[in-house]
Amino acid sequence: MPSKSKTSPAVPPGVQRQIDENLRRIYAATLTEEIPDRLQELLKQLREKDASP
Amino acid sequence: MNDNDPRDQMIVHLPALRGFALSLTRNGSAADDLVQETILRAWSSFGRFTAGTNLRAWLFTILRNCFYSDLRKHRREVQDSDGLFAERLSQKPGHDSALAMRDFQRGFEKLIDEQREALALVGALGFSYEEAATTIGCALGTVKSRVNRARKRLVELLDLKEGDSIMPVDAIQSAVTSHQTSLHG
Repeated sequence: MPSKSKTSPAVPPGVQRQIDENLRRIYAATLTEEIPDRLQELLKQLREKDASP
Repeated sequence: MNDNDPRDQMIVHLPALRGFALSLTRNGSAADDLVQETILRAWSSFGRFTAGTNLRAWLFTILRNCFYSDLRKHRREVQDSDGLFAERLSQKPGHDSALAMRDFQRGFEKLIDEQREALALVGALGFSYEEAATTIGCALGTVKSRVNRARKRLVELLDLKEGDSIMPVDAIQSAVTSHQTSLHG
């Protein structure tokens, strides 16, 4: 088991970069795909409700 | 359109809000339900938003509060994961890189909530430590330590070493590209 000391060294920068790179890649699809219709529709309805007195 | 009206800016933040919702719920439809609840909650609270302050952190905080208050209300376990982002990446089964990526996703899902959300914000969504601390409502040092512990835990779970490649970059790149082609093609 790795040491649980509170001063245990941080993850090496190279590994840290790889982890973040992988995270960004698994999020990439969600960040680039279209917003689902029901959420776009909800925003539209809220705007219209605000616009009407 | 008014740049200063947060109502007009909301749409800009929806993709990242969905990403964050997915990392909290680990379930695609639950994530969109959560974003929907966040939109409604934000809409009724815009009166309390201070113009010129960080809208992204404000929205993410609302989403987070919705998630944790639902969790308490229903006193239920977090919903079964439908494989976090798994279905969103089109990969050939049995392919080495697909297996490695699945391992990585499973590892990420196994992180405890407070570590997973900190790493999602800072590592994946590009939040600064300060912004993440504002969003979560904790001290700067707490975020740093959670992110650090999350990375360390992933290293343990995946048995990563300096110099190891989690997966070949070109393989994941082609998986992402083919996913995007299938979405927009």
